[in-house]
Order: sequence, then structure tokens, then C-alpha cells
Amino acid sequence: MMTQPLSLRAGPGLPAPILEARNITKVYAGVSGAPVTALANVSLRLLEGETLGLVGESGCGKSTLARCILRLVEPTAGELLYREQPYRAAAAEDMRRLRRKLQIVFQDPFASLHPRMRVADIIAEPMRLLPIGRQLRRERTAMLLERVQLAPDLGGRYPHELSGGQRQRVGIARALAVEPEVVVLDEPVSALDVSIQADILNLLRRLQEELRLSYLFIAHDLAVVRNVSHRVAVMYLGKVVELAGADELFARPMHPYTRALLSAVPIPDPAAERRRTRIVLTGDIPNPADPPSGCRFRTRCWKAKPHCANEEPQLSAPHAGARLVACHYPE
Amino acid sequence: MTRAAGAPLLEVRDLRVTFRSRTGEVAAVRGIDLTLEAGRILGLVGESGCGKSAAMRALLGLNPPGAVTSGAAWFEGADLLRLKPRELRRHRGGSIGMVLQNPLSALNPVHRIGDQIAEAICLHRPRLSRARARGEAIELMARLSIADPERRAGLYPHEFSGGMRQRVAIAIAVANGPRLLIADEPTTALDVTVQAQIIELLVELTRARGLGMILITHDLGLLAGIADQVAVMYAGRIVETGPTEEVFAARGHPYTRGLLASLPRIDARVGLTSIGGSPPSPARLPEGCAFHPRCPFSVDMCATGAPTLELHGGVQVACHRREAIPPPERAP
Repeated sequence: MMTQPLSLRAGPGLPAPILEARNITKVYAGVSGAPVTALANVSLRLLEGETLGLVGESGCGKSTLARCILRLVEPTAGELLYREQPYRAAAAEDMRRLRRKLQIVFQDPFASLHPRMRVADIIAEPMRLLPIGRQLRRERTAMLLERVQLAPDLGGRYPHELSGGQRQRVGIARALAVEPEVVVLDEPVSALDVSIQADILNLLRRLQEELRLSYLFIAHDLAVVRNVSHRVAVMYLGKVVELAGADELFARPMHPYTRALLSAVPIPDPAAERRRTRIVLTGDIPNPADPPSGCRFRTRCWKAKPHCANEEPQLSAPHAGARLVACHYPE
Repeated sequence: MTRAAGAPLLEVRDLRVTFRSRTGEVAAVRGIDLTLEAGRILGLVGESGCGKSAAMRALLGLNPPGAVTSGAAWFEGADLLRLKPRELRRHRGGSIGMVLQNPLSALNPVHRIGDQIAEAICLHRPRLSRARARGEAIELMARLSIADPERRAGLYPHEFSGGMRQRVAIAIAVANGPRLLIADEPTTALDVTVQAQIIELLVELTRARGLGMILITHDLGLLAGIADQVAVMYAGRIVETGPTEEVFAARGHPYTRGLLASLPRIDARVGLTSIGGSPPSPARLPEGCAFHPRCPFSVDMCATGAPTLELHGGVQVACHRREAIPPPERAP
């Protein structure tokens, strides 16, 4: 399914960002005393109607960023904007209103659904934010069940009676209950078997078209991200290292980390696998409490030069074009 | 007992595993055959609940009590399923190494890494001195690319990253020169760049030492580049098996075809076609071919008789409709 490429940066004539994170930093007090910088100066724009994929390995900060955007955890510094309105310091009352527009779907639908509530009640619960009566709530719940392709009688069941795919549909229906504009999807299919995964991905795509939703799609599975995203941001150790249109990024990664990451993903095709040369990175992801100086990737990078230890590369456009890379020596 | 010349490293025949529970019997593995040659990698693939892990645990006598196992599993002249627990223990961690999904479950949190590898060595070579075993452990760590092994041998599992722990688990699995390695989802809990490292290591060990490896995974993609043979499991049976290239090319079974069609790829933006429905619970299997309720090719016959594996287009396929299924479209 081809999707229209969306431009990378908002400008005249281009869709305005519906959501923006500016220089978001999140520092946690570390267990052993040393502060851990989970996010260091991360800026992102989510355009209206697009899916922005956010990929990276454990500890890269992608889930922390999602939680900061929803203010489920408070950023240490930076600004958050919804339709150009800042909300990082918004009062609880304003946040409640904003959360109607900004919803999240979690990875493990089982852990995020109340085990002793019926499916219909789970879906209807967020509607308490809305000034609507019981009758309307019931009607809307029935409509949402249909929207996520669940049989009406499933509304009377409990989460443990559902399959993994059905539970994730409930999670999606609940997020849609307040008619949001932006949905943050945090690893929405990674707990599911592949044959179920495709159903959920197709459902998400259809809902996006029908409801004009904007998605921030967080996943560690790059093939999944390629499949759903218009643009993709790659994160490493609390930084965005590359940001580009999905087709462009996957066809020609420019940051060495993106290259290594893509080359590590198996392709389900023996002939294609034979043609590939794999870049196997040495070592592990460094401790985020003590990140390398300069470029954070340099300790595992085969292109690193002394300069990389001294100066941190900024996310910038190496060529005329919209792609952004944070590397002194991009491809 | 000696191994007959020319016999495969491992030959599994009609393996069945049934779990008894309060609510009745659950047939997890319903008669599978596997053949593995030394130096080869066999990929056993399927979704959760298909019986792939129960089958492998049966070979090693690791299923919980209450599991009833039948069939045969010939390894080096002995039927593993008929061995006494004491004899099987000699194989486990000796001639048969195991690598599991979560290396933490294989490591003792309160013992130093080096001591744990040394202990695994001593268990099978009791006459070795502690010092020699420790020396061997450090050597092994170095060979498995664990940097700075002398220092790291003195650390505890929690001080290791996930990838390093899996390397230690592999060190323990190969410490006693196994001929067979069983790896059950060894990289599922790992990041993709670390997965690439671990897979490279496992393949290298298999090739260099002439081991046979059974790699159990839910990820068909992972097998494409490394497995010599693939066996696709569904609801306790093997539905398609053959040389990797041929299985991927033929996709002779509708389930294999469905799995591949539902997989997103990084090298192309492809439309995903899902199989529809969910895999059946092993406690309530459909009659006939277990896949028929989800199968786009099924006919009446599929709901009554269970198909057996038959050679079709270079691969073994268990499908009544194999002749009627058109060849797959060329992959992008």
C-alpha cells in the first residue's frame, strides 16, 4: 500500500505540525546516584494525518519520549506544543481537555485493560471525560466495537476471555472513545503473533484514513515501522540520529547507526539475504548514565574519527533536501 | 553404543506430547518427524502454542511432570525418549547444549559468571581441577567475543547486558563440546543489532565445530539467511518442511504462504495480507486439518481427514489441496 510522501519540515503550503516537541530533555535520578539522561534535546514534529515512526533499541528513549509527550512523565526541560499551543506547563484542567485529543495505545493490551471490567465498560470509561449521557455512551461503544471489527457480543466479555489480537482492538477502541486527533502507539503489535500483527496494522491504517488521525508509532521492529510510517525518526541513546521519509530512509540510510540497524534486520527471503552484507556492530549500547563524549554512537561506529569524540554532531540536513542526520561523516 | 555410520545426528520419529490437566488432555505435539545432520541448522518455526517448544523440551526430558511423551528420538545410537533421567542428565549440557530465550533463567544470580561456566565444565568432567576449569571458562569467554574475560569472569549476571548474558549462556551450552545444540528463541528478548551478533556466533559455532543446531523461532525471516532446513509447525504438527530456499519459494502450505504474506519487510513497502482468525487452542483443535477454518483453499474434505506430509514441488507439504494451490507470485 503506497502512501503519499509527506514533507519533512513544515513550511508554507505544507501541513502544519499538530504536535511538536522542542528540545525535550528528561533526566532521571539514577539508582546508583548518577543522573541518567534518557532524552537529550529531542525535537520532533508530528504533521497532521501522518504516521511518524520512532525506532531504536532498548534504552534509546523512544518510550520515554512518548510518555513525555503525553505528560505521563514530566520532561525536565523543553517545550511541548499542540496545534501551536504550549502545554508542558499546562494546568491539570487544561491537560484533561488536551488528553481528549491525545491518546495512547500500549504494547501489552492485557496489562493495560482492567481484568474485572467488561469490554464495553472498558471502552466507555474514557467517555466520562465527555458531557454525554448513558444512552449515547452505549451507542458510541457499539459503534466503536464495530469500528475495530469486534463482534457486538464481545462487549459483555472480560479481557481474559479474548485473544491477544482482540484485546489490542479493545485498547484501540478505548483510545478512540474520546475522538482523539493524535494517537501515540507504543509498540502496539510487538506482543502479537505475526498473523495477528498484520490485521492490527491494517486496521490502524484504515482508522487513520477514516478518522484523519495522526500517529506517533513507536516500535523496535523496523519492518513494521517501514510498513506503516510516512516518516521515520531513528533514536540512539536519547538522541534522534536520523529523520527522513520512510522510503528514503530505508532505501538509503545515511547515519552509520541506521545502516547497521537496517542491515541487522532479517529479510524473509533467502535470495535477498544472500545478496546482503551485514554490518555487525561490536559491543553493547553504552550506559546511558555515562554516555560517550561527542557523538554517542562513536564507540560502536566503524567510521569514527578523533573529531567524533570532541564535537557532538547536530541533527542537520547534509544535502539540499529534507533529510536530517546527526553525523560528521554521513553516507 | 556407537553411532551407525551415515546415520543422521538426530532422528525424531512420530514425537507426541500430551499434557494432562484437570480439564482433560491437551495434545501439544501430534506426531512430528525431524532429521538433522551434523553441521546443519534446522529451523523450527511457528506461532505461540504450536508445540515447537514442547517438542524440544520433550527431547531433553524438560517437560513438566504430567506430560506424556511417545515416539522416538535417536541421537548417537540412543533413543533420548527412553533414557533414564540420570542418563539424560549426562547428555544435557554435555553432548546436547541448550540455549533458551531468557539467559537469566539459565544463570544463577548469586554466583560469579566465571564460576558458573567452570561449574558447567566440572559437572561433565569431574576430574578437572577448579583452577583448570576456571582457565577454560575464561578461554571460552574470549572465544565467544566477551571482551576483557578475566575481569568479567568475576562479575555477576546482573552486571551483564542482555546480549552478554546470552553469550555466557552459549558458553555454558558449548562448554563440553556438544554435538547437538538446541536454541529456543535465543534472540527474541534481544535488540536487533545484538540479535545479529548472537545469530552470527551461533552459526559460526555450528559451522566451525560441525554441530547440528535446531533453532526454534517464531520469526521466519530469521531463518531465511541461516537455516539449511525449515520445518513449519501449526497446531502440533509439521505442515511444511524442506530445504530453506525451496520452502520460501514454494510456500506449498497455505499456512506458510499466509505467514509470509503477513510479514512486513524492510526492503520493500508491501501490502500485508493477514491470515484471519487465530491459531486454535491445543485444547480445542478443529477436526481434520487444524488449519482448515482459516484456510482460503479449504473444501469439505479438509474438515474431516487430517492430511499427511507428502512431497510436492521439492518440499513436504501436509495439505489435501496442495495440487490445487497456484504457485506463489514472485516476491518483490
